[in-house]
Amino acid sequence: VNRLWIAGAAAAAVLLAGLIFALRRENAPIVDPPDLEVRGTRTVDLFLPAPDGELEREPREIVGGEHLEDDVRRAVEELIAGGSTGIRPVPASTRLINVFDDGAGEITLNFSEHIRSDHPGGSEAEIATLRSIVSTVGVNFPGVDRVRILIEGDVVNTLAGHTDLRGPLDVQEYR
Amino acid sequence: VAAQEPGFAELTFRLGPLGGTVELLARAAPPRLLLAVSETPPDDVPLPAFERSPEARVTPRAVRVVVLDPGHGGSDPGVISASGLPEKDITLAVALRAKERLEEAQGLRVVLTREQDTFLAPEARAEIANRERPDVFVSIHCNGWFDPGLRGFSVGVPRSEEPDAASELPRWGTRTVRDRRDTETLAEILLREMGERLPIPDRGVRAAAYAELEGAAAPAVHVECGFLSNREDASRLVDPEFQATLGVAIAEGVGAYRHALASGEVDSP
Repeated sequence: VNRLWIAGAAAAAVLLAGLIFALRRENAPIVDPPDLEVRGTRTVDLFLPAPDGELEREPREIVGGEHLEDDVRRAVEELIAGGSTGIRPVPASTRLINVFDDGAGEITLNFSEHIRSDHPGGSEAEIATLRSIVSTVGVNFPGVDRVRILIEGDVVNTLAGHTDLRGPLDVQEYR
Repeated sequence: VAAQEPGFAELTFRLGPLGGTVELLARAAPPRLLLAVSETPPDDVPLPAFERSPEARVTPRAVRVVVLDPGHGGSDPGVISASGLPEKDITLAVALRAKERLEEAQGLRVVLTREQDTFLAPEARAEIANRERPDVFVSIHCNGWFDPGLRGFSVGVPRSEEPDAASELPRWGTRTVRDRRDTETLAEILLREMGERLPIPDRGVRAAAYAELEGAAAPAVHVECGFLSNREDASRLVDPEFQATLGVAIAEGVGAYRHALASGEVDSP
């Protein structure tokens, strides 16, 4: 009975391993992950607030991705990381959860709650945050006319009480 | 409004006799209902003579009613100072002092959008103000920045907007040319009067899409009293005496604008 039990367990283990292997093969990405060497890098201009409150351009190299969303994500993540001005327009704790390109000139950025909860507030800081984001996306990626900002997937009234965020922000008005 | 229950409102319009056509249009972004009345009546229907209601008459430009809007409130504290005092308390104190001064010294009717620590959404404030048929709308705030570097007071004006090109009808938030011009004048005069009374730097007039000014049917400005993120500005802003000085400075600015209109210093419409 003992031997039978061991043989059964071994057979079950082999079956299970086979199943896992088959499933992994099935779920394997159809397209290989972007080859960083091949795709190379590109330079984007980050728009960061200077100590006088104005925005300054700061060039940054990013690894080019396969889709527009990949490049937008990398540029916005660089913006969150901050630059030489020492002023971070988006709180460092913020995560960019999703990027969506509607294919008709509108990019949607879905941020984590930290962009609001860790923001210092005040109209000047709020406007600088929005201008930094919209300029960085709008200037570096031709064809993007509007940037919609969501927080945790939701449309919000404002970031800090001063600027209407219920609709997309027009790149021409914010850059 | 004939009937109202949560989530629903029934609106009744009694129009007429009208010569033209009437259309009720629903529009998105921003959501609104438009009642469009055509200007040209059929040839065979004579237009009745209407007595225009007092509100509809073109009033000469004078300042009689002022709406002051203390920024933030309730669950929205605004910027919080290092000492823990929130912006919402400072803006209310400044607005109450400005109201007192305008009523005493200028004899004006002054209405506050909030007199308590209550939450008001930014986009609701212009609508609340418009119910009072204001001649001036002043929203009062304290500023904030990412580091302690910036300081000073400023006056914000709505970013100049173009009428909605896709629609022949004005969209909510589109301001008359006269209001836009008067807003610039009001902002310049307020800055001058504040500069004469406040011992902090002047950051000038700043144009931006201030949510609470959208749709205001009057010259409308967004006053920033100083930076709570700056130690020097903050030490003054939390001081009740300085809050009173701010209230007086804003009141004197509105008073000077009123005199400029009355004396014809400002171009007539």
